[in-house]
Amino acid sequence: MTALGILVQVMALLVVGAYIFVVADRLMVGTETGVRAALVYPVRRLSFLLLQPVTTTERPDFEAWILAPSLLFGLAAVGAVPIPLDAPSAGGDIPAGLVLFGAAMLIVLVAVYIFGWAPNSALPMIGGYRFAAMVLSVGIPFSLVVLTTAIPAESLSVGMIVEAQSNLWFVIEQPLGLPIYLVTAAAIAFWGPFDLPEGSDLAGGIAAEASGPRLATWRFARAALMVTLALMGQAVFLGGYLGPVLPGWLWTVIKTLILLVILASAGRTLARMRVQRFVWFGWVILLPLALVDVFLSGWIAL
Amino acid sequence: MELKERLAHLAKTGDVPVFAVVGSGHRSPVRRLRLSDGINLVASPRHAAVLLVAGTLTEAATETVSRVHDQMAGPRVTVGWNHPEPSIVPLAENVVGGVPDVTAAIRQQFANVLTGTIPGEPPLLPNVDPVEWRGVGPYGHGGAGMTGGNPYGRPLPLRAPARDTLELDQLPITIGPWFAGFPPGLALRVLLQGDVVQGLEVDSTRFVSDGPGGVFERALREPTLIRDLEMDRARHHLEWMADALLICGVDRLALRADRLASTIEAGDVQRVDRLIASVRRSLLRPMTMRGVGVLPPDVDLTGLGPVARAAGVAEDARAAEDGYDDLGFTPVTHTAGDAWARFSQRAQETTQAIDLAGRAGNRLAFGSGAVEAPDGLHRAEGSRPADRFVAMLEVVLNGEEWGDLVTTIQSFDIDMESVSAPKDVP
Amino acid sequence: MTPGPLAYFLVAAFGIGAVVSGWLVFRTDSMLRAAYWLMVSFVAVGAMLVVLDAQFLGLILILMMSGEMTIMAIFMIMFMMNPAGLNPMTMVHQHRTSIIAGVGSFLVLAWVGVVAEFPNRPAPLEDPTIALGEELLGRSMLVFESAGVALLAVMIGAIALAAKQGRFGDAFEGSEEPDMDVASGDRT
Repeated sequence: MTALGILVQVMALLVVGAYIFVVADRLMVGTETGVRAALVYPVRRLSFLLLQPVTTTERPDFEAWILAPSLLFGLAAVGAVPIPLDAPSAGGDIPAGLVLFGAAMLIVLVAVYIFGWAPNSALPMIGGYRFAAMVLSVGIPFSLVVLTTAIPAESLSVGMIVEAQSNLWFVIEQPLGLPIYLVTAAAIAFWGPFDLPEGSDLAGGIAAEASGPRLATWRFARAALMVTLALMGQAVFLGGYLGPVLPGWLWTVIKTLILLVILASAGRTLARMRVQRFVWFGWVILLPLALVDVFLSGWIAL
Repeated sequence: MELKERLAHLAKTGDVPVFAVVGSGHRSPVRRLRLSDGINLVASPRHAAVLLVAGTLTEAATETVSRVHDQMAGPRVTVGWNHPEPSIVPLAENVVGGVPDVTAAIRQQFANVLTGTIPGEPPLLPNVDPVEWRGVGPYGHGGAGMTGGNPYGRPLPLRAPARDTLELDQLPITIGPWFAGFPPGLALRVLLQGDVVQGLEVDSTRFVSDGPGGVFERALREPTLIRDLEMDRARHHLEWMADALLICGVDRLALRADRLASTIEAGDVQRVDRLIASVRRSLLRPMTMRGVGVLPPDVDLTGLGPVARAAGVAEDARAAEDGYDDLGFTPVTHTAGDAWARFSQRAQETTQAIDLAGRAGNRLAFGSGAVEAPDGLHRAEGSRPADRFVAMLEVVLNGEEWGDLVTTIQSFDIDMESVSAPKDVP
Repeated sequence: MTPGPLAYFLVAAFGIGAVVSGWLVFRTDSMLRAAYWLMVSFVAVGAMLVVLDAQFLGLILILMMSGEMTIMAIFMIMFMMNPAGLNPMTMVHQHRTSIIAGVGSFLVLAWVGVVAEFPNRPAPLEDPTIALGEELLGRSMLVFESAGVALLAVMIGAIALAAKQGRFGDAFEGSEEPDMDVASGDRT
C-alpha cells in the first residue's frame, strides 16, 4: 500500500472511531433521552465549538498551546500506522511496529504536559504535573505488557504478533496482559477513572482554559488516541483480524468496538482515583504484575 | 457567512453550556437545574456560553463575577435568576420563577446569541495587563541575573524553605469564590508546590448574601412537621451526594442522585439503597475517599452534625425530641472520620430520614432553640456550623494534595450563606 | 527501505534539524521550551537512525528521550513554579566556560570523525529482533550485564530514598513542611 493510502486509511479510521467513541460515551452518561440524540451529539457539540472563538490568557506560551492538540492527534495517528486491519496481502508491515507504537504513546506525555503548561494558569499546570506523575508510574508496566506479546511471536512486527495468535489468542495465553493493558491504556489516554489531568476537581484541568476549535481539536485528538489504544489492544491480545466466517477487517472493527465500549463504560462507572493512590497502584501493584506477566510468558514460550 | 448560520442552527439545538454563579437561596435550585434537558453546567467559564447569576450576591462579588463574565469565550450572554435589582452586572434577562422558567430563558437566549438575534456581550472590564511590562532586551529579561528582575513588576514565585537541601518554588494563587469544586462563595488563597498545598488562608470577604433559611430555620421558631424536616434533610443529603459524585468524576451516578432528590417520596427507602449500592460498586471508597480529610484529634466536634457522627460522636439534637423518640430514633454513627465515613454517614441518614418521614404521620418537632440541620446543629442564638468549618480549613488542609483538598471541603458541606459577617482584619 | 537519493536527503534534513533544534535550546526564554527543543533534537537523531535502517535503535532512542526530557523539564520546573514563564528567563549563563567547553568538545568530536576508521559491516538481512537478541546475549553481554547491575543498584537506592517510611514520616500522611529548627545546617 502506498504511503498516501495508509494515511487516508488511518485518518478515516480515527475519525469514524472517534465519532463512535464519543457517541458510546454519551450513552453511558445517561443524560440523553435516546440513541438519536446521542448520535447527533458530536455534530451539535462540534458546531458550537466552531462558533466559539479561541480565547487566550495573560502571556501564554502561544506556540506550544497551538502545537499540543495537533501533536496529540499526530501521535494517535502514528501509533495506529503499524496496526494491520486485515491479513497483509503483500508486505507493508513495519518490522519494529510495536516499538513505534510504544514511542508514540509515551510522547503523549509531552503533548499533555505542554497543553497544561502553555495557558500560564495554575489549574491546567497542576493537571500537567498530575499526568507526568501518572505516566512515569504506568509507563513501564504499559511497555512491558505490550512488548511481552512479542516473545511468543518472536517478532516486534504487529502483523507477526497477530499471526502468532492463530492457535490461541494472547488474552488467554497471557492472562495478565489485557487487564494491565486496559488499565494503563486508560491512564495514558487520561480517561476513565484516571482522568486526573482533566478532572472535575480541577475544573477541567489542562483543558480548563481552552475554548472553541482548540478544545474541539483536543477532545477529538483524545478520542482518536482511545481508538488507537483499542486497536492495538485487540491486535496484540484478541487476535486482531483472525476469526471465523467474517472477513478479517470486520473482526478488527468488532474487537476494537468491544474494547472501546469497555473503556467508555469503565470511565463512567468508576470513581476517579486520587493521584497518590494511583502512583502507589502503578508502582506497587501494576509493575510487579507486569513483571510476572513477562516471566510467565517467557517461560511458556521457552 | 452561510456556514456560520448553518453551524448556529445545529448548535442551538444542542446542550447549553452554562456557568452558574450561585447566590443566596439558590444552591438547591441550581443543583436541580442539572436535571433540566439541554442544560449543561460547566466547571470552567471558558467552556460556557451563558452566565447564570442566581440569587442575591453582595457588592463585593461584582468584580469576581465580572471576571468570570470576561473569561467566557463568547458569543456570551448573561441571564439572571431571581437576581435583585439593581443587578451587580448587566443582565440580558432576569427570570423570576422556577427551574422550568429559567431553563426556557437560557435556551432562548442561547439560540438568540448564536444566531445573532442579539449581539454577544462586550467585556465588562478593560483588557489590560495587571502590571505594565518593564523588561528590556529581546527576551524581556533585561537587567542582571537569570530572570533580570521583574519584567512584569511581578516577582517570581516564592521560595520555600530548603528541604532535602532543595529550595523549591511556591506558587501563590487565589481560587474561588465561584470555583465549581467549592461551595459557592468560598475563596481560598493557597500556596502551592506542585499540587501540594503548603499554605492556606480563607478569604473573609462575603460574596453571597445571607440566606433566607429553609424549613430548618423555621423549625427554630415554631413547631414543624417531622415529615417536612426529614424529607428536606433527605433531599439536601441526596443533592450533596450528587455534588460529591460529580467531583469524583462519576457523573452518571450524580445524575441518579439528582433525579432521586427531585422525585423521592416518604418511605421509599429501596431506591436510595440501590443508589448507594451502585456508589459502592464505583469503588468511590478505595479510589478516592478512604483516609482523606480526617480531622486532627484535638478538633472540637460538638454540634457538627454528620461530620461529628462520622467520627464517632453519637450526638444528635433529634434524640432529645419526643416526636422522634416515638419513632424509635437513634443516631447513626461511623468511626473512621474520613471523607468516605461522611459520605456513608449521610447516605445512611438519608435512608433513615426517608424512613422516619414515612412513619412520622402528623408528629411535630418543637425545636426549643436547637435544631439538627443537615450540616449540623443550628441554635436560635449563635453561629452556624459553617463558621466553624471555615475556621478549621487552614489546619485540616495544610499539606494535602489538591484533589484531597477539594474532596475534604466538599465533605464538610459548608453553607457560605450562613457564615457570620467577616471579623475586622487587623 | 532502499538507500537512494531520498535516504541521503532525509538523513541530511534530519541532521540539520537536530543541529538547529539543539541551537534553539539556548535561544528560548522558557525552561519548558528549552527541554522540549532538546527532545526535538534527539528525535531528529532517532529519525536519522531509522532512515539508516536501524529502526529499533532509532525508535528506542525517541522513546527513551521523550520520557527523559519530561523528567528533566519537571525537575527544572520544580525549582520554579512559573507556569508558561510568566517571567521569562535567559537560558545561557557562565558564557566563558560554556564557550570553551563547547568549542573544545566540537573539535574533539570532529577530529574523531575525520581520523577514526569506521567498520564496514553491512547489517545482516535477518529479522532485527533476532539480531538484537544475539547481540544482547552474545558479544555485548558483559557490557549490558554490567550496565544492568549498575542500574539495579541505582533503582534500589532510589526506592530506599523514596520509600513510604522516609525521613519525613509516612508518605501517606500528606507532605507538610517539617520543622526546620534542627541544628542540621539547613539553609532557610
